[in-house]
Amino acid sequence: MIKRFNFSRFIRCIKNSYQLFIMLFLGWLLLTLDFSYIEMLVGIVVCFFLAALTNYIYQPVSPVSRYFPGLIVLIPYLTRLIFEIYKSSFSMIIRIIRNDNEPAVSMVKLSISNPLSIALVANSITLTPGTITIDTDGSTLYVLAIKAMSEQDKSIVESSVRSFEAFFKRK
Amino acid sequence: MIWSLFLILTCIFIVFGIIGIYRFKDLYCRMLSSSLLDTAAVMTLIIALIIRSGFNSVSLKLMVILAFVMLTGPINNHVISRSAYLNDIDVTKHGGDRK
Repeated sequence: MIKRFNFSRFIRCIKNSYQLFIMLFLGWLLLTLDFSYIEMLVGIVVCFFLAALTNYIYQPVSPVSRYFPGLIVLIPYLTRLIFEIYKSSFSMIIRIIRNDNEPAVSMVKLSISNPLSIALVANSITLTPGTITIDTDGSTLYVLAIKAMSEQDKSIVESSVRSFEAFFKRK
Repeated sequence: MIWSLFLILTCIFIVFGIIGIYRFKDLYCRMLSSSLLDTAAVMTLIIALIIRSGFNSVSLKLMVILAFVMLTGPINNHVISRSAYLNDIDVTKHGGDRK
Protein backbone atom coordinates (compact mmCIF):
# COMPACT_ATOMS: atom_id res chain seq x y z
CA MET A 1 0.00 0.00 0.00
CA ILE A 2 1.40 3.39 -0.94
CA LYS A 3 1.38 5.89 1.87
CA ARG A 4 -0.22 9.21 1.06
CA PHE A 5 2.35 11.99 0.87
CA ASN A 6 2.11 14.06 4.02
CA PHE A 7 3.57 17.54 3.63
CA SER A 8 3.83 18.44 7.33
CA ARG A 9 5.65 15.16 8.02
CA PHE A 10 8.02 15.93 5.16
CA ILE A 11 8.86 19.31 6.73
CA ARG A 12 9.44 17.62 10.12
CA CYS A 13 11.82 15.15 8.47
CA ILE A 14 13.81 17.99 6.96
CA LYS A 15 14.10 19.60 10.37
CA ASN A 16 15.43 16.34 11.79
CA SER A 17 17.92 15.70 9.03
CA TYR A 18 19.86 18.95 8.94
CA GLN A 19 22.98 17.14 10.25
CA LEU A 20 22.84 14.68 7.38
CA PHE A 21 22.34 17.58 4.96
CA ILE A 22 25.44 19.38 6.27
CA MET A 23 27.56 16.23 6.01
CA LEU A 24 26.36 15.49 2.47
CA PHE A 25 26.98 19.07 1.40
CA LEU A 26 30.51 19.03 2.84
CA GLY A 27 31.14 15.82 0.91
CA TRP A 28 29.83 17.48 -2.25
CA LEU A 29 32.11 20.48 -1.75
CA LEU A 30 35.14 18.27 -1.11
CA LEU A 31 34.53 16.16 -4.19
CA THR A 32 33.79 19.01 -6.60
CA LEU A 33 36.02 21.77 -5.12
CA ASP A 34 34.19 24.16 -7.39
CA PHE A 35 32.62 27.17 -5.73
CA SER A 36 30.68 28.60 -8.66
CA TYR A 37 27.02 29.45 -8.10
CA ILE A 38 25.58 26.76 -10.33
CA GLU A 39 27.62 23.95 -8.68
CA MET A 40 26.61 25.13 -5.21
CA LEU A 41 22.96 25.37 -6.21
CA VAL A 42 22.92 21.87 -7.71
CA GLY A 43 24.72 20.58 -4.60
CA ILE A 44 22.21 22.18 -2.24
CA VAL A 45 19.24 20.82 -4.18
CA VAL A 46 20.65 17.28 -4.46
CA CYS A 47 21.77 17.12 -0.81
CA PHE A 48 18.46 18.58 0.38
CA PHE A 49 16.39 15.94 -1.38
CA LEU A 50 18.77 13.12 -0.41
CA ALA A 51 18.71 14.14 3.24
CA ALA A 52 14.95 14.58 3.29
CA LEU A 53 14.17 11.32 1.50
CA THR A 54 16.69 9.20 3.43
CA ASN A 55 15.51 10.48 6.76
CA TYR A 56 12.00 9.44 5.77
CA ILE A 57 13.24 5.84 5.65
CA TYR A 58 15.85 5.67 8.40
CA GLN A 59 15.02 7.16 11.75
CA PRO A 60 18.19 7.49 13.80
CA VAL A 61 17.83 6.25 17.36
CA SER A 62 20.27 8.79 18.71
CA PRO A 63 22.78 11.13 17.10
CA VAL A 64 25.90 9.42 15.74
CA SER A 65 28.12 12.18 17.09
CA ARG A 66 27.58 10.88 20.62
CA TYR A 67 29.34 7.63 19.76
CA PHE A 68 31.96 8.94 17.39
CA PRO A 69 35.53 8.33 18.60
CA GLY A 70 37.84 11.32 18.85
CA LEU A 71 41.09 11.95 16.99
CA ILE A 72 43.11 10.50 19.88
CA VAL A 73 41.47 7.15 19.19
CA LEU A 74 41.22 7.43 15.41
CA ILE A 75 44.86 8.16 14.52
CA PRO A 76 46.44 5.14 16.29
CA TYR A 77 43.52 3.02 15.08
CA LEU A 78 44.07 3.99 11.43
CA THR A 79 47.82 3.39 11.69
CA ARG A 80 47.18 -0.02 13.17
CA LEU A 81 44.55 -0.75 10.49
CA ILE A 82 46.90 0.08 7.60
CA PHE A 83 49.68 -1.95 9.20
CA GLU A 84 47.37 -4.95 9.66
CA ILE A 85 46.06 -4.68 6.07
CA TYR A 86 49.56 -4.87 4.59
CA LYS A 87 50.72 -7.56 7.02
CA SER A 88 47.83 -9.82 6.21
CA SER A 89 48.06 -9.03 2.48
CA PHE A 90 51.54 -10.50 2.35
CA SER A 91 50.58 -13.55 4.39
CA MET A 92 47.57 -13.95 2.08
CA ILE A 93 49.88 -13.92 -0.96
CA ILE A 94 51.95 -16.69 0.65
CA ARG A 95 48.74 -18.65 1.31
CA ILE A 96 47.73 -18.26 -2.33
CA ILE A 97 51.11 -19.52 -3.55
CA ARG A 98 51.08 -22.51 -1.18
CA ASN A 99 47.35 -23.10 -1.69
CA ASP A 100 46.77 -23.77 2.00
CA ASN A 101 43.25 -22.93 2.98
CA GLU A 102 41.10 -24.22 5.79
CA PRO A 103 38.31 -21.67 6.11
CA ALA A 104 36.23 -21.79 9.26
CA VAL A 105 33.96 -19.53 11.21
CA SER A 106 34.96 -18.57 14.71
CA MET A 107 32.81 -16.79 17.22
CA VAL A 108 34.25 -13.77 19.04
CA LYS A 109 32.38 -12.10 21.84
CA LEU A 110 33.23 -8.42 22.18
CA SER A 111 33.03 -6.53 25.43
CA ILE A 112 32.01 -3.25 23.81
CA SER A 113 28.34 -2.48 23.39
CA ASN A 114 27.96 0.71 21.41
CA PRO A 115 26.79 0.06 17.84
CA LEU A 116 29.18 2.38 15.99
CA SER A 117 32.24 0.81 17.63
CA ILE A 118 30.99 -2.70 16.82
CA ALA A 119 30.42 -1.63 13.21
CA LEU A 120 33.93 -0.12 13.03
CA VAL A 121 35.51 -3.28 14.47
CA ALA A 122 33.53 -5.47 12.06
CA ASN A 123 34.44 -3.22 9.16
CA SER A 124 38.13 -3.31 9.97
CA ILE A 125 38.06 -7.10 10.23
CA THR A 126 36.50 -7.28 6.78
CA LEU A 127 39.06 -4.76 5.47
CA THR A 128 42.00 -6.96 6.42
CA PRO A 129 42.44 -9.59 3.69
CA GLY A 130 41.94 -13.12 4.99
CA THR A 131 39.12 -12.39 7.41
CA ILE A 132 35.48 -11.43 6.84
CA THR A 133 32.81 -10.67 9.42
CA ILE A 134 29.89 -12.83 8.35
CA ASP A 135 27.29 -12.07 10.95
CA THR A 136 26.73 -10.18 14.15
CA ASP A 137 24.43 -11.00 17.00
CA GLY A 138 24.39 -8.17 19.50
CA SER A 139 28.05 -7.81 20.38
CA THR A 140 29.04 -11.27 19.14
CA LEU A 141 30.89 -11.39 15.83
CA TYR A 142 31.07 -14.43 13.56
CA VAL A 143 34.40 -14.14 11.79
CA LEU A 144 35.27 -16.20 8.73
CA ALA A 145 39.01 -16.67 8.39
CA ILE A 146 41.08 -18.37 5.71
CA LYS A 147 42.86 -20.58 8.24
CA ALA A 148 40.98 -21.15 11.45
CA MET A 149 40.38 -24.89 11.77
CA SER A 150 42.73 -25.64 14.66
CA GLU A 151 42.50 -24.03 18.09
CA GLN A 152 45.83 -22.28 17.61
CA ASP A 153 44.72 -20.58 14.40
CA LYS A 154 41.43 -19.61 16.03
CA SER A 155 43.27 -17.85 18.82
CA ILE A 156 45.31 -15.89 16.24
CA VAL A 157 42.08 -14.68 14.63
CA GLU A 158 40.64 -13.78 18.00
CA SER A 159 43.72 -11.84 19.05
CA SER A 160 43.59 -9.75 15.87
CA VAL A 161 39.94 -8.93 16.61
CA ARG A 162 40.85 -8.00 20.19
CA SER A 163 43.60 -5.68 18.96
CA PHE A 164 40.99 -3.66 17.07
CA GLU A 165 38.54 -3.82 19.93
CA ALA A 166 41.08 -2.40 22.37
CA PHE A 167 40.97 0.99 20.65
CA PHE A 168 37.28 1.48 21.33
CA LYS A 169 37.11 0.38 24.93
CA ARG A 170 36.28 3.18 27.29
CA LYS A 171 39.21 3.97 29.50
CA MET B 1 60.07 7.54 -7.58
CA ILE B 2 58.42 5.97 -4.57
CA TRP B 3 55.01 6.12 -6.25
CA SER B 4 56.14 3.74 -9.00
CA LEU B 5 57.13 1.23 -6.31
CA PHE B 6 53.62 1.53 -4.93
CA LEU B 7 52.18 0.97 -8.41
CA ILE B 8 54.31 -2.18 -8.80
CA LEU B 9 53.05 -3.36 -5.41
CA THR B 10 49.48 -2.73 -6.63
CA CYS B 11 50.15 -4.90 -9.68
CA ILE B 12 51.50 -7.67 -7.44
CA PHE B 13 48.36 -7.54 -5.27
CA ILE B 14 46.08 -7.60 -8.31
CA VAL B 15 47.93 -10.51 -9.94
CA PHE B 16 47.91 -12.63 -6.78
CA GLY B 17 44.30 -11.74 -6.00
CA ILE B 18 43.21 -12.99 -9.42
CA ILE B 19 45.41 -16.10 -9.16
CA GLY B 20 43.78 -16.76 -5.79
CA ILE B 21 40.28 -16.52 -7.26
CA TYR B 22 41.15 -19.24 -9.80
CA ARG B 23 43.28 -21.36 -7.48
CA PHE B 24 40.96 -21.77 -4.52
CA LYS B 25 38.10 -24.12 -5.04
CA ASP B 26 35.34 -22.99 -2.74
CA LEU B 27 33.27 -19.86 -2.49
CA TYR B 28 34.50 -18.51 0.83
CA CYS B 29 38.18 -18.80 -0.08
CA ARG B 30 37.50 -16.99 -3.32
CA MET B 31 35.72 -14.23 -1.43
CA LEU B 32 38.66 -13.95 0.94
CA SER B 33 41.19 -13.72 -1.85
CA SER B 34 39.12 -11.16 -3.73
CA SER B 35 39.21 -8.96 -0.65
CA LEU B 36 42.92 -8.63 -1.36
CA LEU B 37 41.99 -6.83 -4.58
CA ASP B 38 39.26 -4.91 -2.89
CA THR B 39 41.21 -3.27 -0.12
CA ALA B 40 44.97 -3.69 -0.34
CA ALA B 41 45.24 -3.08 -4.09
CA VAL B 42 42.89 -0.10 -4.17
CA MET B 43 44.52 1.43 -1.10
CA THR B 44 48.03 1.10 -2.51
CA LEU B 45 46.91 2.49 -5.87
CA ILE B 46 45.32 5.57 -4.32
CA ILE B 47 48.31 6.15 -2.02
CA ALA B 48 50.58 5.96 -5.09
CA LEU B 49 48.42 8.53 -6.88
CA ILE B 50 48.42 10.81 -3.82
CA ILE B 51 52.23 10.73 -3.71
CA ARG B 52 52.37 11.30 -7.47
CA SER B 53 50.12 14.36 -7.43
CA GLY B 54 51.72 16.02 -4.41
CA PHE B 55 49.71 18.14 -2.00
CA ASN B 56 46.97 19.87 -3.96
CA SER B 57 43.25 19.67 -4.59
CA VAL B 58 43.56 16.38 -6.49
CA SER B 59 45.19 14.64 -3.52
CA LEU B 60 42.45 15.99 -1.23
CA LYS B 61 39.82 14.45 -3.50
CA LEU B 62 41.79 11.20 -3.61
CA MET B 63 41.84 11.11 0.20
CA VAL B 64 38.06 11.52 0.26
CA ILE B 65 37.74 8.70 -2.28
CA LEU B 66 40.09 6.53 -0.18
CA ALA B 67 37.97 7.11 2.93
CA PHE B 68 34.82 6.31 0.95
CA VAL B 69 36.31 3.11 -0.49
CA MET B 70 37.52 2.00 2.93
CA LEU B 71 34.07 2.54 4.43
CA THR B 72 31.97 0.99 1.66
CA GLY B 73 34.32 -1.61 0.15
CA PRO B 74 33.99 -4.24 2.90
CA ILE B 75 30.20 -4.06 2.77
CA ASN B 76 29.85 -5.89 -0.54
CA ASN B 77 32.27 -8.60 0.59
CA HIS B 78 30.32 -8.94 3.81
CA VAL B 79 26.93 -9.07 2.10
CA ILE B 80 27.93 -11.75 -0.42
CA SER B 81 29.53 -14.01 2.20
CA ARG B 82 26.70 -13.43 4.65
CA SER B 83 24.09 -14.42 2.08
CA ALA B 84 26.10 -17.55 1.28
CA TYR B 85 26.37 -18.38 4.97
CA LEU B 86 22.67 -17.83 5.65
CA ASN B 87 21.82 -20.02 2.65
CA ASP B 88 23.61 -22.92 4.35
CA ILE B 89 26.58 -23.25 2.04
CA ASP B 90 29.13 -25.28 3.99
CA VAL B 91 32.17 -23.40 5.19
CA THR B 92 34.39 -26.46 4.85
CA LYS B 93 34.00 -29.95 3.56
CA HIS B 94 35.21 -31.18 6.96
CA GLY B 95 32.52 -29.14 8.65
CA GLY B 96 33.57 -26.18 10.73
CA ASP B 97 31.93 -24.39 13.57
CA ARG B 98 28.41 -23.51 12.63
CA LYS B 99 26.05 -21.24 14.43
